[in-house]
Amino acid sequence: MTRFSIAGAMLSFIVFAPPDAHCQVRSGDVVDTAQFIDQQIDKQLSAANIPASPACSDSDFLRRLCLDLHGRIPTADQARQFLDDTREDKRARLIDARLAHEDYGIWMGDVWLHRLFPERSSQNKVKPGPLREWLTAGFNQNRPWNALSYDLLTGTGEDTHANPAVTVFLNDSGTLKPEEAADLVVPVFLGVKIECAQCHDHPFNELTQDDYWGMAAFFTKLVRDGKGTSETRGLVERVNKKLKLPPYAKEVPAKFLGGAEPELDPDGPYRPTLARWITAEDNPYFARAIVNRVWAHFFGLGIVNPVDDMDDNRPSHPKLLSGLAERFVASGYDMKYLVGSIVNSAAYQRSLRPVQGNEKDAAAYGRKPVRLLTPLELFDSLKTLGIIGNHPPHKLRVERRRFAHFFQAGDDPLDYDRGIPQLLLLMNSKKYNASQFRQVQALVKQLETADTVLEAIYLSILSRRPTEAEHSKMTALLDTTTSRTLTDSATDIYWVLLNTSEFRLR
Amino acid sequence: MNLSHLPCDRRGFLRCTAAASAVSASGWLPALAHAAAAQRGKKSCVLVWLEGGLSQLESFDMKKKYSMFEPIESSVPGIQVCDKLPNVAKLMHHAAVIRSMSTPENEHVRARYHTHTGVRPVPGQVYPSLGSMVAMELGDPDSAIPNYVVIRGKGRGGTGSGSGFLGPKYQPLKIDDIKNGIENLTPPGGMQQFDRRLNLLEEVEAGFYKTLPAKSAFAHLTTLRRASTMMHSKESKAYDLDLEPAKAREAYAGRYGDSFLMARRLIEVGVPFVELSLPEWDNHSGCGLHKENLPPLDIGLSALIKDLEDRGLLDTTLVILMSEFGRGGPARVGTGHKEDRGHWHKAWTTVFFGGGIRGGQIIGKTDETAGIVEERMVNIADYFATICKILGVDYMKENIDPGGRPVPIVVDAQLSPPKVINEIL
Repeated sequence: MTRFSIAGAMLSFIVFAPPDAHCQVRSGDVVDTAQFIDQQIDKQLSAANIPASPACSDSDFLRRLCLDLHGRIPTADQARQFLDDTREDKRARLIDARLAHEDYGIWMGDVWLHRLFPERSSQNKVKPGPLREWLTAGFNQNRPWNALSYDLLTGTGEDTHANPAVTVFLNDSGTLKPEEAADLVVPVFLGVKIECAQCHDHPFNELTQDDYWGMAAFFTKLVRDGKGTSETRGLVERVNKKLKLPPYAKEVPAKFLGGAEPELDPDGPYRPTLARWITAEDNPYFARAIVNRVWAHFFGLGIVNPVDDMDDNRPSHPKLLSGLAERFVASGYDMKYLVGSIVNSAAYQRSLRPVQGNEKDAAAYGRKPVRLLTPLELFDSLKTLGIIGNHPPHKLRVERRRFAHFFQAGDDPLDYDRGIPQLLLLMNSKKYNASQFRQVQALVKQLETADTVLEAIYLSILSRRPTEAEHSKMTALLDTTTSRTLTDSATDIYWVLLNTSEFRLR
Repeated sequence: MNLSHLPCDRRGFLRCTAAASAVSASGWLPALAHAAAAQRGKKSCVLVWLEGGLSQLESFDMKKKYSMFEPIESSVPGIQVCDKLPNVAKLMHHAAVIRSMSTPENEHVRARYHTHTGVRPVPGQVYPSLGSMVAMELGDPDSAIPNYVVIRGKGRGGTGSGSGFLGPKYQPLKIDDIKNGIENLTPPGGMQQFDRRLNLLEEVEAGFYKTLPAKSAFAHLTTLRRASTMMHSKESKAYDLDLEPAKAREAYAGRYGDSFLMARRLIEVGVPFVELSLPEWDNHSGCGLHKENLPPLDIGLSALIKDLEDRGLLDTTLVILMSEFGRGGPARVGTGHKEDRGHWHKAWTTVFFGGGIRGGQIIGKTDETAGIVEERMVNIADYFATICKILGVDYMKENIDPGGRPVPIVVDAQLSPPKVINEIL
């Protein structure tokens, strides 16, 4: 805890634009914070007399980490390598390697792209590609969260290539309306839901219509302008033009959420003032909001839920939330430090399987909460398996979007929200069945014996080897008369594993 | 939860469906429909959901000063509707218009949830939708196809329609692409291969569930079984609109026609609750979206009602037209803003057709802006209780929530008894 001091916090309070120093994860700090997480979780577990499940198996850990950091299951080779690694610190090594891999930034960029640029019918023509790449680079370079946020909140530029951050505020008719911008920014960066305060004072918390329209007022100068086509044209804050608010708006001066009215230069841009307030170290929401979101990414539920409505709801572990937020700020808003601390904790590495007494209350973290693969995780995992064809990137992205749309996941990741049509797709699609056959055919050709084929199928789909019981059960089903019959019968097993809970859940 | 609670063994239904499929395939629908109607004696419901919010001022609560469309006379003297609904106007003798809905939520997701479940959203507990509860009461528990179907449009409709704590067996079947109905019902390797694989899958699942008895694993297996049952059934042909004669398809013209036609086909084979979610009614100012969407609604809705009547199914089928709230304007932001049509939950309109109600009635009254209820306020509990009465469902029937508490269909019915709209029964 030496890194965090009140003096440090005071000092950075007067910094205007957040610094963009390149942060290095220091493994000592990560271990210390992982221990802090476990102390907080364990304290509440023992107070509530809830036992903790043992640590998960290596294959569960590998699968979980790959899904969380890279958005897909590991390959059979990766699984084999990790399971056969006998070094004691192989989990910590794996964490470092996966955090350093470029797929980390690609997946985080994807997750944040969907959050910052949710699919709306009014944004069909704006191309989010540059923003995706910008976010990916930001996460891979481990830019501090306050710096990334500042850039996202204040971006201006000639076109979306010159400054991809502007994309967040664009739509087909120009820019988001002030109230739409506030509805986007406030839940994402501050974890507060303010839509209800649009028309009436917020039902539960202290927010009023003044807070809502006060925040919206910061976005009244957005104008789409610059070079490029309607897909890529940029954004400026026009000095002398104010966007009209809707007739039912409450006309109030720009005001920080639950806070003061800043002095604004009427001739200058408004958003930098807002962004400085949001990313300031003493902002009551900012660090907590990101810590809570990152936590939810790894556990399927936040320390406060829902993650975009933190003001109305209580944290399950108040000290954990505030302690993590403090450490995160002290680390210089270091995302890899935060992520590394969480995935190094025993709480993260606990088994999904309950023991007597911890079956209920997933939010106690006596066991790891069970959740479904999200539609994108499922798609990318199918891609890893070779079930999705080798399309060119553009075509692949279209198919991926269509897949995600067909699965239309609900808000709660712990909820089973698959329906019959979604299961039918994976069971009966001609395309997916044909690819499964081809995958098995290739395995048979390469590996020849029934044993090795079976092992490869288990490693590919479930990231583990078959148990002895599974081994004898399944080998009995394999027909080794010819390589064709072996392929046929092994495809049955492949199909079965692909449709199991074990593959669909994590 | 343990495995013995899982639905009956699959071989059992395989035998049943094999016997049933001996019946000639050509005459399947009339025969099934007949059987379904005869053995039922039970009612069914089509819930037509206008995603975003129908403007009462531009539909069924016309006001001289503020409506942006003209009123026209209907088949019932004294009841006027808007001129974009000429075909529905001719059927108003089947209708009860409730002009005095009043609810507490004014944001889409929250309001959708409230108007589907009867409760306000709270974190941590998901209540079942009325559709799931009615389907549970009226549906055949061994039905080969799901008892609750939600036909979704382009939008993200369908939130709020889940089965909540009733569990995966009562989840609606969601159809997203109406043109294609339910895809992938036929396994590419044939049924024999599918059954062989599914048997093995069941065994693997049972083993997995022993080591990880998670709710989602249970839900996964339940859904697998429901999917398989459907694949084996001939009722699933109801999802195939191409089997409908061309003439019938013509009657169901327009953008929403296929959804309405699908609803009729499902009602006919005995599905007790069908919800159609029609997108893009979130018309915040002016009347552009309504101008575009009311005519196809008029065609589809009137085709459905007439078709049900022709087939003798209207008296046993309640058709409900509703949204998550209405649209404000004058009452919301002041009489100066005639064109504002923002969300408005304090006064809005729903319509019942058929279901054996006494039609040709108006319930409730609003002020000159159609934004304030002046008479006979109807809240969601009153509304749900009335629907249950019409459908012959006991709204005091209790389901058990995860905390072990009994929860009536109309949640607070014991504390504050709902005011059923008896005038229309």
